[in-house]
Amino acid sequence: MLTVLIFIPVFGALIIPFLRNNQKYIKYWALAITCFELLLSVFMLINFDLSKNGYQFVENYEWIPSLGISYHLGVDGLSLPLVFLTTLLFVCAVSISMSINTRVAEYFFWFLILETSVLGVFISLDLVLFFIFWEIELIPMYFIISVWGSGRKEYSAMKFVIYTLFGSAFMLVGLLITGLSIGSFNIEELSNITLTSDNFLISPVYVFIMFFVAFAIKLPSWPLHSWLPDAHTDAPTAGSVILAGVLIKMGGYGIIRICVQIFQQEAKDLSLLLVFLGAFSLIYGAIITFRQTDIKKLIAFSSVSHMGIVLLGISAYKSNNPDVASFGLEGAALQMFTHGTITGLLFLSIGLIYDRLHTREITQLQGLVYKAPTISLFFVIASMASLGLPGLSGFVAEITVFMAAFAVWNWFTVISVFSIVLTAGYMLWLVQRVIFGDHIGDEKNLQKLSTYEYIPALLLVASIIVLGVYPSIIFEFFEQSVTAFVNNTIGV
Amino acid sequence: MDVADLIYIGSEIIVAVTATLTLLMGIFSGRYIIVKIVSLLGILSGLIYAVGLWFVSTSYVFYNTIHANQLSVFFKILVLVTLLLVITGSYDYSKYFGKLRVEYLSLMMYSSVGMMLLPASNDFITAYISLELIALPLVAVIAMTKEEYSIEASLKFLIFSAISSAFLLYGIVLLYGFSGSTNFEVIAHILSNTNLDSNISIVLIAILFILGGVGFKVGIVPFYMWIPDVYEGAPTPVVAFLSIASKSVGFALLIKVFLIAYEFADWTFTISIIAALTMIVGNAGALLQDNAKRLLGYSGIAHAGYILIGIACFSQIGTSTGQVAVIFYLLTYAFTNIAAFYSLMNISLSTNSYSIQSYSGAFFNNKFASIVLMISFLSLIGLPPTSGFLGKLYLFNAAIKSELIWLVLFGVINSVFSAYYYLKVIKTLFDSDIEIIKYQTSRSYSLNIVLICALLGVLILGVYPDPFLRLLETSLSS
Repeated sequence: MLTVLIFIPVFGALIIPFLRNNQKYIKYWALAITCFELLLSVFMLINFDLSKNGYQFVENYEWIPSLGISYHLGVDGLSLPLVFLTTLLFVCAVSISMSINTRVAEYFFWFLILETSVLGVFISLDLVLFFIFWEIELIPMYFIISVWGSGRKEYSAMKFVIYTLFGSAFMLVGLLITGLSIGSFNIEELSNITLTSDNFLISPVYVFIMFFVAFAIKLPSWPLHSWLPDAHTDAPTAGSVILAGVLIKMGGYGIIRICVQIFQQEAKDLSLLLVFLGAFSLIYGAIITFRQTDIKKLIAFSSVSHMGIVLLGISAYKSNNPDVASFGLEGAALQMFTHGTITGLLFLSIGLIYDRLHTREITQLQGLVYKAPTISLFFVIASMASLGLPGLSGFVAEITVFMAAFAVWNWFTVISVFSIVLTAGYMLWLVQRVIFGDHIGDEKNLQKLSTYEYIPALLLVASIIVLGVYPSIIFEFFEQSVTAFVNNTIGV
Repeated sequence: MDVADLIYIGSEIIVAVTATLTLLMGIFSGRYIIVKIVSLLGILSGLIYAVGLWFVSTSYVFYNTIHANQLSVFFKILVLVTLLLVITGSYDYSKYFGKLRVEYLSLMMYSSVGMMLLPASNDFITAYISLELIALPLVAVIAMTKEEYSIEASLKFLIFSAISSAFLLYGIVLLYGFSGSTNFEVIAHILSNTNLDSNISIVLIAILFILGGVGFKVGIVPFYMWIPDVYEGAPTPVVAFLSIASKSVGFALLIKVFLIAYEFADWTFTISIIAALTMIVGNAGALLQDNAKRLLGYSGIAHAGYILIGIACFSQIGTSTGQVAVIFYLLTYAFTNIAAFYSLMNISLSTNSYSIQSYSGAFFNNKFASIVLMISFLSLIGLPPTSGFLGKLYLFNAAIKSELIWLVLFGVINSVFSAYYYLKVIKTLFDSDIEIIKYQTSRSYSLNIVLICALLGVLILGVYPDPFLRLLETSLSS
C-alpha cells in the first residue's frame, strides 16, 4: 500500500518521456497521477484504525543488512494527515500548472519525483531511508526554482540546495552515530530506548543538536531561515505552494518524529532553546514583514513567523503534565497542517494575480477587488485564516499551542502572543493595500479563472473552513500518535 | 617456481598476448574494426578467466612475490571491466589518434597488465615494476593526439611519475635496509617483532616516502599538482582510465602498505590530516574551474581525500570494515567516473570543446548523454539514490565506528560545498535562457552502450548494493 503510494509518482514520471511531448497528454497524465495519490491517501485516512496505537500499513524488508538498513514504511496519526496534505497540495500544484507552456515534460517530471520524495520522508520508519528521501527532494526543487522561477532564480535555487545540504550533512553524521551506538536505524525501536551517554558514542545532546540543525534549516527557524524568502519569491507559483505547503513541514515533522520521539530527554533539556528560537522567529518574522514590498516575500516571512508557533508547541513537551505536553505537540502538528493549506492558498492566489497583472509589488496592486473579485475573495479568506480569525483553521492551531505553551513558559508565551497583533496588523494592512483602495490602471476585464484554477482554490478553502469549524477530524489522528507517545514517556 | 603458478597470472598473460597480437595486426591488417574486436575479445577472455580465478583458493606464488587471493582477483576484475568499457566507448574518439589508434589499444592493454599485477604483488620489487608498467605506456598514450597541450601533459606525467618512483624506491630501500627483505609479509613480521625504539624514525620516514610515492599516483596532498594539467591535456578515454583504474590499484597498494604500517605505529592522525587537506584542496580547486576535465581532475583529488578516510580508520576497528568501505567506494567511483567522462566526451565529440560554457543547453541536443552526466554528477556529490551516496555512507560509517567524528563532519561539509560546482555544470546542461546552438550529435552506439552500462552500475550499486558488499566481505575474510 505505502510502496504503491510512494512509487506511483516515480512511475508516472518515467512514463512522461513516452508521451511524445504532447503537452496536453502530459498535463492530464500528471493530474491523473496526483489525483490517484489523493484518492489513495483518502482511502488510507478512512481505513486507518484510530483505536490502535502505533504504526499501521507497515512494510518492513531488509535492504542492506550489512549496515542494518531496512526498507521500513509505516504511518501513524502524526504522519498520515501530513501525507494527506502532501497529496492534496500536489493536486493543487499540478492543477494550477496547467497554464505552464515552457518545457512541460520536464516540469511535470520533476514535480512527480518531488511528490515521491516528500511522501517518502513522511512515511519512512528507517533513519537512512528517511535521509535518502530527504535528500532526493533537493534536486527536483533545485530545477523547479532555477528553470521555471523568476528573478534571481539561480542564486535562490543554489542557496536553497546548499542550506539544506548543510543541514543534512549534520543529520547524516547524527544518524550514523545513532545507528552505530544503538545498532539500529529503526525509528520505532529507537524511540523505545532510553539514550544515555553510556550507550552513545558521544553525548546524545550533540546528536540531538545535529538533527535539530537540519530540521531547523528546513522549518525554517531564525537564524537559519534566510534561504526561505529567496526561494519562495523566485519559485514558480506551484513551486511556492509546495515549498511552503509541504517541504517546510518536513522540518517540523522531523523535529517531532526524531528530535522529540527519539531524543526524549534531550528534547526536554534543550526545550529552552526551542522556545527561544520559536518565540524569536515568531516575533522577528512578523516584524520583518512590515518592510516587504513584494507580496510573495511578505508571505514568506510570515511563514517564518508561523513556523515559530510549531517550535513553541513542541517546546511544551517539557511539561510533566502529559495533557499539556501532548496538547503542545498536537497543536504544533495542527499548525503545520493548517499552515500548509493556508499558505498554499495564499501563494496560489498570488500566483493567479501575478499571471494576470505581471507584478507582485504591493504598490502597484491597489483595488484588486474591482478587477478580480473571485481571486480577491480567495486571498481575503486565506489572509483571515492566516491571522487567526476564529472559525477558520489557523485560529484553532494557534490557540492550542499558546494554551499548552503558557502552562510551561509563561513569559515566552506572553511575549509570543503579541505576534497575533502583529500578524493581524500586517495581514490587514496587506489586504487593505492590495485588495481594497482606489483601483488604479484600466484593465477592467481580467481573464476569468479557469476550471483548473478554481478547483485547487476551492479545495483549499474547503479544508480551511472545515478544520476551523470542526478541527477534531484531524485532531483525532494527532491524538492517536501523540497522546500514546506522551503517556508512555511521561507516565500518568 | 612451479609452472602451475602461471595459472594465477592467466589474465595478465591473456591480455599481454592480446596486446602484442593487436600491435602485430595493426602492422599487417588495415581494418581497424577487426583489430578492435580482437582486442575486446582478448580483454573479455581475460575478464572471464579472472572471474574463474575467483573460485581458486588463495596461494603464494612465484617465490612469494605474488599473493593470489580473492581481493587481488577483485581488483583484476575491476581493472578489466574498466578497460573493456573504456576501449569499447572510445571507438569514435579514436579519430583523434590518427594512425596511432592501434597502438592506443595495445598500450592501454599493457598498462592494464601492470594494474592487474599491482594489487596481487606481495613484494616491493614486483609492486615497483608493476607501477612502472602502468606508467610508461600511459606516458605514450597521453601524448597520442600530438596536440601541443597533450604532449605537455605527457611530459608532466612522465616527470611526476619518475619523481614518485624515486620517492617510492627510496622508501623501499630504507625498509630493505632495516629488515633485509622486500617481501611484505617478512617486513611486517620483522617490524612487529622487533623493538623499534631506536630505529623508529627510519621506519616512519620509509613509510612516509612510500606514501609519497603512491600518493603521486592517487593524487593526495601534497602530490596532486600534476592531476589537473594532465587531465586537461590527455585524451578523454585515457583520463577516464587513469582516474579509475590507476587510482584504484594505487589505493590497493596503499591498503597493503598501511596494513603493515599500522602494525607498529598509529597512523590515524597523520592520514586524517592528509585526508582533510586533500578534500579541501580538491574542492576549493574545483570551484574555480571552467574546463570540465580540469574540474573532474580536482574532483578526483577530493575523492581521493574521501577514500583516505577509510584508510585512516584501519587501526581502531580492525582493518576489514575500513577495507570494505574503501574498495566499495572505488567500485562506485569507477562506474560514476566512466559515466561522467564518457557523457562529457559524447557531448564534446560534437562541440569539440570541454569548457563548461560549451555545455550550455546540451540537454536539448543530446538528451541521453546529458541525463547520464547529470546522474553521474549527482553520484559524485553523493546524493541518493546513486551509488556515490552509499559509497560515502560506508566510508563515514567506518570512520564513525573508529570515532573519527570530526573527520566525518569535515567530509560531509566538504561534499556539501562540492555540490556547488557540480550543480553549476548540471544547471548549464539544462540552461535554456541563452540561445541554444543546435548541432549534430554523434550517434555512436558503442559509446551509448558504455554509457548505459555505467549508468546501470551507478544505479544498481546505489539501490541494491548488498550482493557486492557480501562478495567483498567474503573476499576479505578469505
